[in-house]
Amino acid sequence: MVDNLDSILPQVTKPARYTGNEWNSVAKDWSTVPIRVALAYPDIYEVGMSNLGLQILYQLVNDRQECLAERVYAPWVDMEARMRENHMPLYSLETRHPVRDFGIVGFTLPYELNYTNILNMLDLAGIPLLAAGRSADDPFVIGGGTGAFNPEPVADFFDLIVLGDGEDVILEILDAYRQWQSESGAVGRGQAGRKSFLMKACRIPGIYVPQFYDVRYREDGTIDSIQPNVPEVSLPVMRRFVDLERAPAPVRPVMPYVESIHDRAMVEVQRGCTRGCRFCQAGVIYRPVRERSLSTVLRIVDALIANTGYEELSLVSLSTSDYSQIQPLLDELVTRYHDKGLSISLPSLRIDSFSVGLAEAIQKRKRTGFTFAPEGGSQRMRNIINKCVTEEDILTTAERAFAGGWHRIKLYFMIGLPAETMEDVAGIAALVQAIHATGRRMHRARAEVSASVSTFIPKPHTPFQWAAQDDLESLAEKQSYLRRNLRGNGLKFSWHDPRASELEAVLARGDRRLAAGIRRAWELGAKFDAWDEQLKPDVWQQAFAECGLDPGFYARREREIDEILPWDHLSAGVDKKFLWREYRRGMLAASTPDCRTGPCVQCGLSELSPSCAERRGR
Amino acid sequence: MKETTLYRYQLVFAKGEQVKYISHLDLMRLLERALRRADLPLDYSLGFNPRPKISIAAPLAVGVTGTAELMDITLYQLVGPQHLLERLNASLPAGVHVSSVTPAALDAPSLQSLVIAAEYEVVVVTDVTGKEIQRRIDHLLACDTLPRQRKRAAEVRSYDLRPLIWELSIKECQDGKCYLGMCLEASSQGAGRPEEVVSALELPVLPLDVNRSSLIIAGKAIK
Repeated sequence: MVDNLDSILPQVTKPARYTGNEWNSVAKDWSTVPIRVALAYPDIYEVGMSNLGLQILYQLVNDRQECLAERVYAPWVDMEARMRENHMPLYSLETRHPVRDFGIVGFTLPYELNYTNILNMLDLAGIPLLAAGRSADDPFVIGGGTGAFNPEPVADFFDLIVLGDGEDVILEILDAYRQWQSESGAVGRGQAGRKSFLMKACRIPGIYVPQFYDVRYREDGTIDSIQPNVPEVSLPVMRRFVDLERAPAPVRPVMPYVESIHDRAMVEVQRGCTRGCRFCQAGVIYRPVRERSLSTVLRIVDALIANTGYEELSLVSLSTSDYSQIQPLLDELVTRYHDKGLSISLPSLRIDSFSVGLAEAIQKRKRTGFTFAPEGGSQRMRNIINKCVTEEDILTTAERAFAGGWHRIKLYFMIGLPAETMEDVAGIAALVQAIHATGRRMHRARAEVSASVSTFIPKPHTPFQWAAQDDLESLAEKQSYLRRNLRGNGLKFSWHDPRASELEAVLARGDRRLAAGIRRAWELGAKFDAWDEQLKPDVWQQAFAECGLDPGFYARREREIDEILPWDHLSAGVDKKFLWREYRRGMLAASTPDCRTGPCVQCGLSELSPSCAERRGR
Repeated sequence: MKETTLYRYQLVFAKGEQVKYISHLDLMRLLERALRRADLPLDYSLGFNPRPKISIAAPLAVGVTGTAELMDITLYQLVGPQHLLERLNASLPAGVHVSSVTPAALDAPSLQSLVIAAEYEVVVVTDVTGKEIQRRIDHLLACDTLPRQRKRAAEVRSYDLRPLIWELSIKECQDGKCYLGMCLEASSQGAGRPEEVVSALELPVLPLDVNRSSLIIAGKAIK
């Protein structure tokens, strides 16, 4: 176990990131627990501790007597330097065991710009980077989360990948692992032994073992075929989904000492969203909408608050105003917790007066900032992306919020969307100006509008998965236009570094050949690429060039309908034909209504999802 | 509505190894949440951002343990001290433990204003002999001034360490470890830092092993 922390921690920033012992953390006795899982998040503690998915898995695994789960996060650069100087391996927070001593190391894949951190963590742990290079003594490295839907750029580094909701499948993996452990005994597992576990695991629905598939490429660089090399695996691998109402909720979340990004109690009121925004990956890979009943949510909240003492509760979902029980839920929460000083936050609200009303009900005292996301500046663009909201909706909502006492409004937009013109970009500035003018009428100089304008990244499994990303020059021009036109008192404009967006686009739709580039970039010093001050664009450029990879091929090329996409063997349950149809409709600026209120949009899920089939039948 | 009568308590608590790297602000948040878990009737300040009324006598530096730290809390209902102690301890994470609870007068002066000094136990890993360390201590104590610099973020401040050292002695020296005891001023006039003293003795500061064993309040040591 790692024990010389007192020589190192006094020299690093926020040392409590590395010490564990938090409330609700679980430290089991290794000598009595045979199945040991390290849950790893490829970013710093404060980011990783905010991840609800890992908290779910942590509790599920630790609730099993014969299993333990411990956490590990990416050490910040100062800590990493000290660890390397002192030959200290990456260790778990709970019992400070080296990560390589665990049987399974599970990484969540939240974001493409974390990929180099995964390599860095494996390296710090002393685990061979390539799955093919691991021996009997090394842990199985598994991945899951949103990035699992195109894990190809990092596929070589993983023994297996889990597609979809993890609640059931994690336990099935642990069962298979247990069985394999007892069959193979404690010694003499060797390479063949490793493979025998993977053969077992690949039969579990939702499990993708990259080494059991071969990818062939054509001369033009596109994919020729993706074929299994063992008969036991499925093609495609279908994602898992759970019935949220029956899924266990993490009611004993580990509470960070160091303030995390979302340092509050979180209850997932529903999973999935069917609004159908064409850029949105979560809107596809978490379909269909699954709600928790009011009584279940309340039961979870009561347990959460008693177990944590949190002063803030967040009602988590992709679109919380769409939760059918939202009004009665808020009423009941206010009744139950009014005297206990619990504040409630609604992180993702729809753009309408109903949502402002909800926010008013929970924010009696402090009304500072109100946030919503029109995404597109012009009506044409909002139709293209299927963000079904009119300019009038947006202005009325903003006016309602200002009238309700909020004097700061934050708006999210995107630039670089398919078929975008400068007129659409000008629409962003005009809309922000109009909202600001409304605010000034009511709050004078106190009114503040901030526009956070990110760059569109085409993502796998979305209608825009075929689209080209905008080029760097055009993005720079659009940003410069917005900078010029969103200037003045009470206006704020923020944007993303287009070079980071380009890298994200490359990695998002990359294939297995990118692994060499990622590895090379890491060798040259790339890590924490999601952190502006850490991103090293020249390092990536050099790495791609050395490996013969063309970023433009991945980021700025429009794909044809018949092209085999690198993730075509991995299914979210949504039909590729539906996605293509939506892409074409988008290019015609035609909107498609939400299937929750309108007719079934034939996305393909109704074949697979009982709740969806039931709704369709009604 | 809350009752208008308020009740103040003085708590002696330990901040142990498991939590010694958490900052003062983190500790405040930890205590607030533990009090909420214990479902104690914590009084909150009024205003936009209500804060619980918890005050700590003297913040501990990050990395330093404390065996008898002091804090004040204000509740809006009367709770028996023993009951408060048990309830709170059941809700505190490993490393934080309350050893005593005493009712205090609502109008008593703030804890911060009462603390004048603190006693520390410091373990130094070194090959320097006890005799030599004693010589350095004698020399250091014989000085009239000990000008030193303290870096805080980008700012460098010069100060005199000597008047902040009330007592300094060797408790034990063996097997490459030297156990030092020191009493350092901790008031509005200034606060001595144990690792600064170690460094002034030209001894290694790492690995850091410092415990604050007691706070001294107007001549009385709280242990």
